[in-house]
Amino acid sequence: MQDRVLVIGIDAMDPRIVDRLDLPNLKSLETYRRLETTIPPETPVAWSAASTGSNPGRYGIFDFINRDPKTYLPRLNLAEEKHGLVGMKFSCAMKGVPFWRILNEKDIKTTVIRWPVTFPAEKVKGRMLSGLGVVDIKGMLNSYSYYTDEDLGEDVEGKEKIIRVTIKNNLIETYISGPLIRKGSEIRDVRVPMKIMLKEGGAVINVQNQEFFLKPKQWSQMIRVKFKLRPFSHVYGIMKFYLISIRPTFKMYMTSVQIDPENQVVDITYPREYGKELVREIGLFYTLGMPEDTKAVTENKLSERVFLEQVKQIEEERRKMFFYEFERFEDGLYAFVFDAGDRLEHIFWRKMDLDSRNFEVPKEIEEYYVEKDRFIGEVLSRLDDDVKLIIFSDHGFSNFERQVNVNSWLVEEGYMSLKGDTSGTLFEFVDWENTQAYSLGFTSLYVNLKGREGKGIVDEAEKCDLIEEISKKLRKLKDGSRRVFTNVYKGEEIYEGRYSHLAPDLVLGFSPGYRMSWRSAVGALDPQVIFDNKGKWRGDHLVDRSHVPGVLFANFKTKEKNPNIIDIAPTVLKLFDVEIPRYMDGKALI
Amino acid sequence: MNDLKELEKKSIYIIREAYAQFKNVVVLWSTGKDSTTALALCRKAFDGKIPFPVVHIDTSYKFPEMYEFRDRIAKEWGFDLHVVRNEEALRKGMGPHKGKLVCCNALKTEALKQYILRNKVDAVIVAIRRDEHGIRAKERVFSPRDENFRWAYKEQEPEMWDIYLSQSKDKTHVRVHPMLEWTEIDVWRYVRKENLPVNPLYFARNGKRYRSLGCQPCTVPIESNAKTVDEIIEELKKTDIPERSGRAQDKERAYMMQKLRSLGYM
Repeated sequence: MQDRVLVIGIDAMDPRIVDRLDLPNLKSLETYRRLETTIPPETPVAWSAASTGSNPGRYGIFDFINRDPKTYLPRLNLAEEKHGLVGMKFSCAMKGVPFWRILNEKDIKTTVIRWPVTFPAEKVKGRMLSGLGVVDIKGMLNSYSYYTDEDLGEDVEGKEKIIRVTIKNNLIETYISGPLIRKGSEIRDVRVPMKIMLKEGGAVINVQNQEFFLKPKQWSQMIRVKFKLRPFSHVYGIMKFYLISIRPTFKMYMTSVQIDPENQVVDITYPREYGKELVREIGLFYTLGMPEDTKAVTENKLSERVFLEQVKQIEEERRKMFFYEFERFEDGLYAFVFDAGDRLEHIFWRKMDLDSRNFEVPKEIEEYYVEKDRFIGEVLSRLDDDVKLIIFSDHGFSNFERQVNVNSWLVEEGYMSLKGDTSGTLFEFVDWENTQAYSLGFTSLYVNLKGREGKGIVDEAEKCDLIEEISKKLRKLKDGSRRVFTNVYKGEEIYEGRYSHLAPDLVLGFSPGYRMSWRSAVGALDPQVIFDNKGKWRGDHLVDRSHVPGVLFANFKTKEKNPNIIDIAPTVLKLFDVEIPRYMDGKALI
Repeated sequence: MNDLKELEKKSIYIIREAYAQFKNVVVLWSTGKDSTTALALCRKAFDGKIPFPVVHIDTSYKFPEMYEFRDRIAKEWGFDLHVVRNEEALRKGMGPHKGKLVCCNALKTEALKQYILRNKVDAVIVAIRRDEHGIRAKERVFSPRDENFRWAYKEQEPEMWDIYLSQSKDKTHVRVHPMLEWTEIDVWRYVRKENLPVNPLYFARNGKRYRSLGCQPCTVPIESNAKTVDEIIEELKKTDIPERSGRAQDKERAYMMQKLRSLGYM
């Protein structure tokens, strides 16, 4: 029986990039294989499959967003709100049993850091820091602020995050936008005043009696601010500033106001004191689930260079955090997930042409893989011989050149009827009484089923034929000479378990280069069904799983030639000689 | 009554404009109140004689009263009636049991598409009204469609008051909507004023009447005791649904969108 197992997750590590690069430490390991991922290959789905050893039907996450069939409205699966939209009460969307809970039951200690969809932090025998899914102080997954005296107009992307300032005698009086509260029927943000004094060569920023100087192109430290919600009620938030320029225009970026690990408004660590302990060791750190600000890049507020700086800061924090726990790793399980690579690939994948024989990996991505390999080298050099090590990724990557609006397709094919202003989102314009099917999220299509959907019209008896008909048409759908879908799966056939009734009726497996359109994902139409994806976010992994396998490394021999991500949990349990629950769909690899 | 005169005048202007600018114009007629009013307007525009075909798309699932009404009026008004059916789909057994949308698409949209292609129609007069559906708020009096019948609502240029964009460019045909500004109640007031023929299905029988007419299997009557045009007008005045008071809901949606978009993927 094993005393210690170390699991390192590296989100979106792609086998083709691994094969292409010189990564001596990773490649020195006993086992290296491609790891089959989930249908669909989406982050919350795949990491939950890894931790539960199960198909999505057993834990209830089938896409980044699930829909409420009664209202057709979306719910983000990364952080499930308990009391409506405003407020900071959340429950975990992942309903399955992760392997660490099974180990805890056998009195095996577990330390789990930044595993996706573990927010809010759960009680464990050991420690936990939540990962992807942790919200900011507004309850958002990311909401940076951009301060400027320039008029960017009404049509600019991310308008609600722009704070327009005016400079009077070299002074800017502005604010930090904090938690959201309800005032009657209004949703309002709580604000804290902030003064910015423009000086020779920089700016002095003053907020709640804290004063610091920033030169242009300089990051601030993490700052803590207190927001008063009501008399005797307040919350803390932390944020960083980056001064972009002072002249000719003033431009400053502020990260999301994030949950303060020392004053957690909602649990991001277990025990709560663990947050304080980490701050004591490594200083205040980014707590947001997905703090690498791809949004600020795609909305043209941060340059790629500054974004890379931010990613490096965050990775450095994680590295320190990793080794802090590694040093005192004496028994049980230690699991740690790194996920900055995924963000880098979303933004920089467009610089690569995988189809050409001698493709070159963009340096931003190469540096990350090389750095991770060096890090693994360091781990290996300090790893005791008796520790079993598993390294894996949740999925690989693909390009995203063409967008597909499946809702617009449904309209064209006569499955969805419209009313009202069709420029809206969230299906505002759908005439449900005359609609047979709709699509929400990145890979999900649902039948408007009588009795299940709020305004369902399709009889249970017709459902099968309709699904078959739509699936046939989608399989045939072409863009020029290329097929848009590699696979179209029926939810009923691929999922089982107590949550399978929540599954989409069809799961769409896009061909490489294609992805659900930005608007279709949120229940909106585009003027065309298939069209170009422009902008920086031209790498994605929301295609058929056959195109984006992940990787598996281990410092021991595995017997399976074609391992699947659902095999991770049973393998860990077997290493500890803990019985594998019968319901698990995966199998031990040893 | 002056407002009706004004509506009539504008509609006639649009109909004449369409006839002057396009080679092959047709008007769609379902036998319902709106399209019957449109026929009456076409008659007025051209001194009682409609100079282009009147197209009735026959799904074969219409009410018997509609077929009777159709044949009676066609005879009385003496126009060139073209009855269009998607025979192939009907032969293959298309019907509402295959799903309402599939059926509508095959028996209505497809049937019209085939007719338009066969007869090189470049303008179709349709009696839609802006108040029927919110989506029609975006409709234009002259609304180009491409070969797939798609309405590129985002690409259309704004149509200012009274200046209709009737140039069809590369589009295959243009929909002409002379009654876009009319409301349901305007139609009934015009029917009363002009003493137009009315399909008996609109009048209450056993406490129920049809407010709009379609295919028999897919049309449901409303509760009503209105047995005359006057009573229908009175009923509509009372049952006017108040303006939608969904403002708070809209803010909620805006916030929900913000939240969704806070994930990089959206």
